[in-house]
Amino acid sequence: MKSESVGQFEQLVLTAILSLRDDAYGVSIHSKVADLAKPKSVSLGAVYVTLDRLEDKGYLASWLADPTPERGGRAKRFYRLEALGERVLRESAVTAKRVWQEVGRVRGWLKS
Amino acid sequence: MIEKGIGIFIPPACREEVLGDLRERNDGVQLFLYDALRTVPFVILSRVRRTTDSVVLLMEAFCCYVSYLAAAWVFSPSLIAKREGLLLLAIPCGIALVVLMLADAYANPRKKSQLRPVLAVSLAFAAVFAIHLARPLLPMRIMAIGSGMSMLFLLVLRMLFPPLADRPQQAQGPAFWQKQEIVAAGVLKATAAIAGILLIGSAVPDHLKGPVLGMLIAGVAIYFITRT
Repeated sequence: MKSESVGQFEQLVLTAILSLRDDAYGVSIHSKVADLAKPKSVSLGAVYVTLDRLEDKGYLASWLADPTPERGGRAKRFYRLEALGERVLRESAVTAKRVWQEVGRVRGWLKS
Repeated sequence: MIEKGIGIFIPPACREEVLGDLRERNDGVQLFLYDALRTVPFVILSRVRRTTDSVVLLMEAFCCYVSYLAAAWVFSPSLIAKREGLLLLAIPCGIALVVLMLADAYANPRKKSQLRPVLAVSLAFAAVFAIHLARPLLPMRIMAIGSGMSMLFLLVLRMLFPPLADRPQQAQGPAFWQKQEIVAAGVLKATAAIAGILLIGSAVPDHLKGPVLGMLIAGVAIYFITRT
């Protein structure tokens, strides 16, 4: 039985792909993840490793598009979320929300 | 030119998109090189992970080690009796397996060949003998017989269990990289850890065996406990 939970970095990559919609490929995903992860820096290699791992888990699907001149005639590999990936991301977002609500509640309790 | 040079190190299965991404991100040569040096090792490791079937790898390691052990048992029992003898027998196995893993990772998925298992195994033992010629690993007789038996075992194993990327793909089945877990990864890691501890332990002097083995076992136990 495969694990259906994702780590924090995986959450960032899934979120980046979700928000980029039809334009999710290596460079754009890396730049979106770097934005989300600020102030931490993110390497392109780490993004590739995570994309491969998420694809292995069945959360993502990928395909090669046509080559483009600004990339020296090389193709882009686009990614999209699969239904399982969306479900896992939703679950982790709900958990994060619950954590945030709890933190807010405790902080409020501490103030009063 | 530089792009082509870097491209050689990137596994063919992901060369196109990785080189394209690096080109798009970097205008200058220095930036391109710097980015490539930071990125390519991750790409290689990720590809190795995707193309390696850990259960088959463990079987290959076992067959390879048993071959050298049998050769040493018959032709040079004194080597096994030596303190570091069992560890020395693992060196050519380790080299062969690393080369095999890299050969699988660098195989071009668009070019299928029936000869791939033969070529990969031959390449692995060519590397073993190249290193042996530069710095002898074991007595030549054990190397020759052990390598021959290992090649035979590995060829049979690779014909029975081809590399993940070469296995037949069902239309509705999961893709090859979505590996079907026959054995839990933890069991494989534990098996490899026990084998490693026993091998290293056999090479440690008697008066240090207790502390060294204790530290190794504690280290592995802490790793597994903290991971779960």
